[in-house]
Amino acid sequence: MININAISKRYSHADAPVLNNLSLTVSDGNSVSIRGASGSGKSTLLSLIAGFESPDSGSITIGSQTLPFSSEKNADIFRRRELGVIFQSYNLIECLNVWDNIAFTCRLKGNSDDSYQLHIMALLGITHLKNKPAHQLSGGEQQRVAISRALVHKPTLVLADEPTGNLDEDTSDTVSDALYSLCRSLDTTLVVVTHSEDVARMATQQCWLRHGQLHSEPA
Amino acid sequence: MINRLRLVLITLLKLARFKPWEPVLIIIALLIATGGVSSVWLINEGARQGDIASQTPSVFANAHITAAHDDIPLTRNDYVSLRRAGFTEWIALSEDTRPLTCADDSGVGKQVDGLDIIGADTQVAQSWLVTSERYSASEATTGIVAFASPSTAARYACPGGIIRKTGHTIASVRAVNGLPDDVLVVPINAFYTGQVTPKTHPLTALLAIENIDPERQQAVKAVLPEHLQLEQASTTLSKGNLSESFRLNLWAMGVLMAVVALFIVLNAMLLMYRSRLSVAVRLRQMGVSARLLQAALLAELAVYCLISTPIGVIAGLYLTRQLTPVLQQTFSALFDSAFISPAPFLVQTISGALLITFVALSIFCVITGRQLTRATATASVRFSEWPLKWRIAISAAIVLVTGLLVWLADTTLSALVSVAAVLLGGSALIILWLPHLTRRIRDLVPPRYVLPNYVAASAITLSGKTRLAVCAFFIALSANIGMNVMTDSFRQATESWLSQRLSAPAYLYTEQSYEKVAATLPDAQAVFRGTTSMASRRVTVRSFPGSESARQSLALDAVINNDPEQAWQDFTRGKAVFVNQQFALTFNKKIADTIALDAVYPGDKSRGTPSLASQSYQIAGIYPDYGNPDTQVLLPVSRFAPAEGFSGVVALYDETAASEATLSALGETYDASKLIARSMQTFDRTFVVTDALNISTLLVAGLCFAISVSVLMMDLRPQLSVLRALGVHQWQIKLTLLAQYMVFCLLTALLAVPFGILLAWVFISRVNRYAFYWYYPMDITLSVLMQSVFISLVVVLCVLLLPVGRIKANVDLRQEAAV
Repeated sequence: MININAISKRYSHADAPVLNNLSLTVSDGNSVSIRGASGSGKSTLLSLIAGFESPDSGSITIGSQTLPFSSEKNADIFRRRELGVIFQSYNLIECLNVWDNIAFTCRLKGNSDDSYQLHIMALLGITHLKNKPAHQLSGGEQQRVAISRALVHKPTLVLADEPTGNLDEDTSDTVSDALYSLCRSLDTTLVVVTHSEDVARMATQQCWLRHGQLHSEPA
Repeated sequence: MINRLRLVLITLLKLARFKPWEPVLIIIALLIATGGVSSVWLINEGARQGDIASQTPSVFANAHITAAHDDIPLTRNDYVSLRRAGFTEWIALSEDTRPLTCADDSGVGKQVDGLDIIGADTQVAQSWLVTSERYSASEATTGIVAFASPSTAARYACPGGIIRKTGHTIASVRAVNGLPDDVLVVPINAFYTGQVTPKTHPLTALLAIENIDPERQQAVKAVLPEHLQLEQASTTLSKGNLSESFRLNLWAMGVLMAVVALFIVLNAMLLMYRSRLSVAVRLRQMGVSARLLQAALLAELAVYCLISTPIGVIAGLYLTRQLTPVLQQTFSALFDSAFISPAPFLVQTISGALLITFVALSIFCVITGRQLTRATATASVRFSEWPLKWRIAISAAIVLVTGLLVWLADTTLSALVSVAAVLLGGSALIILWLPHLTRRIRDLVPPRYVLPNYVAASAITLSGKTRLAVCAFFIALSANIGMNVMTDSFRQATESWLSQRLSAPAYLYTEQSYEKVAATLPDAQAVFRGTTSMASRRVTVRSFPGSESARQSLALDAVINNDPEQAWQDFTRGKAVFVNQQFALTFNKKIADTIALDAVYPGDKSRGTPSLASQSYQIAGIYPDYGNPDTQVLLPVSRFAPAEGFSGVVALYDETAASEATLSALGETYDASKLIARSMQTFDRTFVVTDALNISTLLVAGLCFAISVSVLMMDLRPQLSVLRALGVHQWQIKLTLLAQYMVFCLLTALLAVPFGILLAWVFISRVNRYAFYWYYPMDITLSVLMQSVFISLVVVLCVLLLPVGRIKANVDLRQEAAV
């Protein structure tokens, strides 16, 4: 379960806080979609949930883990075992091929499962790209590899920042179906930041981020 | 843990393969830095050995016994008799002056001397003997080994050996100290071969293998048969040297090069780190711990260091070896000095170079450690400038600490620490203020000048990434300016001091006794020398006349009661003495202090019968005495009566009217102007070496800058692509980039000028003061400053032309912006 309690965050160069007394609760295995205008703080919220940044005030609890982490070591262990992140700009390791990119997290964790990896790749339609270097992929292909990488180690929480932003409509439907169904089958909690109404609707809970706070209704 | 480290390390190595220019540039930087360091160290060593060699008195200049008349030669029996009488310090010499040729028929010289090395019971001769036997044994089939001075050995390096008229071959020539130029020395048994026999080539002389004291000379004179004569050791005019100062300069250049190399290596490492930061952030986001990531980075860098450091050192050694003949000829022909091919102290050099790279790795660890811990988001690792208040406070602290270190320096070590503080303090100020200065430059460029405005704006971003390379350049340039100002001041002080000191029109250097000189030139002003001690430290004593012309020739820095007349009266009456700056600073004495000198012995040794008893004197004046390594006291000539300790130097005022024949019968006469010119030649010859090393350091720093530029240009590609898409021409882009980097260099040069001047002051007033006990007025010449800045900018411009010229800014829509 994710429990976000009254967090605020302000960047030094900004006049107003990007997140202001924001709260959110997501049950285990559920999914939540967050929509909002550009610059409304969606990616910042994901960053705070992942522990990449710390809130100025308030608290975040993920399962039994309270953020900020008690030590860097705990943070690393949490990211390796419990967390999968799909970045807006994919963040693939460009010197590795598709297979190695996806396998990287499992190898870090020490439990590679090639058949499961192949299964996920097949679901996302990227099996044929297995040996292709990451830097030779198109934007859409990179996005699917990034989704595979976030799910392959069976995390308990997946944070997705615009997971279908670079995909055409048909592929977007396929990929988002795969993402949601995989998370459901693994009982993984999913937080999706998106501009796509279709992708957002697939979540069990929908939110809109405005003026630093979450709302259950669009403006 | 090990598996994770392996996984991350493999990823980093794959990244290196994916972007090969990163490791290639690191390796090039390491090669240049370690190659530069080893070259400078080896050239230093060669010059140092050459300096030692040029100062080692020639065994041929020692006292020698020759035939008194041409009709009765010196024979083997004479030699044997003398040695049997216990005079084993004398060894036989014979000469063969017939032409020598290289195996390829080219002529090389024409003198081989046979020396009875076996008969010489000294350490030097025995080491020659061991060398000779070893080489003769190993090269028995091809010929014998000969010895020569370093410059001669370099000239006689004939592949295939040297062939004598006898048909015998000299297989190799070994460089040793203490031999005159243009002479090959072989053991006497090897000398007498074929047609060369004791009959055809009788002994020429018996040489004293060491200095013979007067008592021993009298003893040998007593046993010499009538047909032999003893000739005194030659007191020909010394070449003169600034040896200690020169060695300190060489040492400083070596340390300077090491510091510059450290900055270069660190800069290369940080450039690679920066270009990989985006990957580092990704890995951190996936749960790779900061420690693990750093360990992998260090392991990768250590691999590069371990590969390239020995190669760099060996390349530096190879370069120095290749340059050795040129250096030897340059030293010999141009500077009248020796350069010895340095022995490759490979283990020490590689260890030194590895130490530099591992110090760089350690600093790299400290710099990156904290950043990697929080490198989970790109925003958290962006380099941001410190607030103005902080920068001012830190700058003030740096200035204060540096100022205090300079001010409080009171030993050679603390003076050298203050030199380091000035250089590192300046570098820290550059790191703090370079972005700010570039921002001010952008404010000065009106927006309507689009490209210049872009140059200035982009320079702000780049200033953060090139800081360390700029620091290396700053250190090299400041040191260059500092050394040039110091040397120029020293030169001017020395020249003016010499012009004043050598007031007589000419000087006679003679080996005759004072009595004979005084009889021939009754009014000549001879210089007497003596040796004494104070507080158990050796002090040299010289006579000084009290005549009006002599008074004018002695520039006194300070005199008692500020009254020169009283000072000279006290001096001529023998109540007071003049001491040199070295004496005053070594013993911490001031004007009017009383000093207690021990007994004064005539000549250079403090033994025998003293010519003056222990006595106390008042210090009436302190005079500058640049280049003299000794503490010295001047006493009036009258204190040297009866005349003892005649130095062999006589100032000729009116005596120049004496016939040339009279003067040449006594010795060699030198015009004062020639002596000054000769001294200044010695000066220039000494410091031209450090000048060359200085420019080498500047060149290495420039290359480091070019490497940074090459790396940064990779980051710039997206921007350049945009410029090209907007219609900016290729050559305009190149010019823009060149202008951008020259802006940094110009700013650095402007900062380096005041720091260079400060450095010169520290060198003169602190390092010289505590290392050599003398100082001189600092003379800032605009042309010297301009020359240093101009040369440095030209060096950087030249090395920048390569990477800038190679760049091809093509439009590529798929390029990603660098992190």
